[in-house]
Amino acid sequence: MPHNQLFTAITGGLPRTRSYAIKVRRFEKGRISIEELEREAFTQTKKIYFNLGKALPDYLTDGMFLCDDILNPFIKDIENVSQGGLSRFFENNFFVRTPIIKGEINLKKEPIHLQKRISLIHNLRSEGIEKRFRLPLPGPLTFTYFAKIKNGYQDNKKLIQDYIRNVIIPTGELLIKQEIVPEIHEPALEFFDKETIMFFWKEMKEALSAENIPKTHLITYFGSKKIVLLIEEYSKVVFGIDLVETKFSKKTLEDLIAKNELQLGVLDSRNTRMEKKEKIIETWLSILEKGKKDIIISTNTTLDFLPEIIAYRKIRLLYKIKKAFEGN
Amino acid sequence: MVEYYLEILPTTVIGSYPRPSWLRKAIKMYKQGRMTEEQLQEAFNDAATVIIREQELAGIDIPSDGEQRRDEMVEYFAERIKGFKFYGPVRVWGNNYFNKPAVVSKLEYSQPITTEEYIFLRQTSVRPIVKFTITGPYTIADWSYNEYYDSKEELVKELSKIIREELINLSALGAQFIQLDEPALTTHPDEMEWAVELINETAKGVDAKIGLHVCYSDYKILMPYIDELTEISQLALEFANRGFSDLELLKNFNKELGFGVIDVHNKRIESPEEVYRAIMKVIKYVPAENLYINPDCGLKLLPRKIAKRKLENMVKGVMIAREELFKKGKKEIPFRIRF
Repeated sequence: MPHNQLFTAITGGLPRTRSYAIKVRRFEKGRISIEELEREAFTQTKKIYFNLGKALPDYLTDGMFLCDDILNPFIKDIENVSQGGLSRFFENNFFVRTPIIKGEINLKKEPIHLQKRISLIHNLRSEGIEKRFRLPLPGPLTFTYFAKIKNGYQDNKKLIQDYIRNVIIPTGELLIKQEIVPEIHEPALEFFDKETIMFFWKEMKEALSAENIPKTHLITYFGSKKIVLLIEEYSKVVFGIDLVETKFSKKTLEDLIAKNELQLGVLDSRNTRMEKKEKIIETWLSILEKGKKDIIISTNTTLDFLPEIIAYRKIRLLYKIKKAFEGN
Repeated sequence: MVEYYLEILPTTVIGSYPRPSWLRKAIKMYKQGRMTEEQLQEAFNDAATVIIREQELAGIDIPSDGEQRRDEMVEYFAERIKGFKFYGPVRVWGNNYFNKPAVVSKLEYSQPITTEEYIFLRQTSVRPIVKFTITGPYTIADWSYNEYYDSKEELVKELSKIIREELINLSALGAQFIQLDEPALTTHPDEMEWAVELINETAKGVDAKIGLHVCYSDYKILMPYIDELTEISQLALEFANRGFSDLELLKNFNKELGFGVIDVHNKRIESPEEVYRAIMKVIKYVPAENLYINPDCGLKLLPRKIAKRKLENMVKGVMIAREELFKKGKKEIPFRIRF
């Protein structure tokens, strides 16, 4: 029997249900109120989680039905940031609204959108969903990458620093009170040079060293190999690696697993092709069992890239992999 | 083929146009079983007729049919090529979705996909030249899930053969101007080399003018390949969306340019003077004789009234520019199949 534990997780958002999409359209036409839309977001997310039954992962998110993408509407909770035009989300046929920075950034005193998402999680818990919850948020590198206009910031490092100090830290303080784990998405990690990445990491560790900042999950994807620059023994971070798009040797992976808690993206959430359980187990089980620390397995990126029916098949497959790991 | 001459700075569109509200209702009724297939086809034909006429009345020299029969540029082809399956919609942005297809078995060209559409467009328009749009093989592959082929390149190769058959069928029917839509082309820079090769393979020897539309892309990645696109005579690129920056990238541009002067994601209606000024800017990089003028991209996301007015003002802006060019003795250009 392995010494470590294996957990399953939902990363990012769930594919919007058709009924929720209809409600959004009605809201956009002014036919229903924002409150009704929010109630629907909760109802749909709850329904999805209940339907998963025993396959419900150990880590859940708020489902991100209240979000258009990883940046929006979270950036509306940041002072001196407004929504810009659409930009392609890396190489995907998916687009995000980019931040326009007008001055020094700070989390607003009343971050309404953040509070609504926290409230949704609270309501899910009230329905008896006793799992750990994470809240997906854009990381400082990803925020900086997408900010096309950066008034008041000549220097990316200053922007990264302010985002960590003035946005991540106050957000973390809010989340720790609710026992919610920040799930910091950094798909843009690969696009920064080593110096900037190490600066980012120094600032993050400084922020995370405070007692009132929770353990954080730092998730990368789309083939980010530079994550290995950061992975070290550090109990306040779980590092997320995309094993679908990033090829590591068995030895490298074993070394990484030995260092720290990791989240491994083992299923492709950008393709409907269903992985074979036996193949995944054959490929990863021996490595997973060598881990000295607990491991989380998940899809490699947000489920929002998949049609609903496939997304839930992939979540159920994660459960089967976990059962195989536990010897069942 | 008959040689045609067009007024300098010919105006055209990229392809899609907003559907009339009654067509949207008709489609809904058909899906609810309250309208027959025959009635739906009549509605599509009527809509295409109206939209072609709307473009002609706005002064567009080379109209399209507004892609009235197509819900989405990849879905439409995937529905008609054997080997695709649909699992359900996925989001593109905000609350906008498309039915992203999955390749589940070997793809096959079982029958012509768009020839009837083309015939209708050609018979309906009064213009000597019309533009017909086809989604390119690279974009179909990139915007699909791949469960069957070992690599994306293999998938694009297969699609290239299928789209090529369609192009040959269209040119046999007399299609003079076909635009391959490849918005995904520059999203994976490491794939550009083989993607460009396969686009050439797709269009090789087809007896028609083949244009290539690439929008909302990094043109720094595209420019080094312009001369390698040997089977493409015109590139339709967007510039209004980016505030007409990046024009300097056109310094050594050696093909016809379909110059995007209208922002299709903004409801603000550009003035004719704005269009004229944009044209005067691009003429510093691309000779007027090599320019076509069009919106940045398809117009279908705009309200119909706004799309119409934008086209009208685009044409008015072109007319101001033409007056200046006429004074320099530049009046006409030949319609070039090859460049």
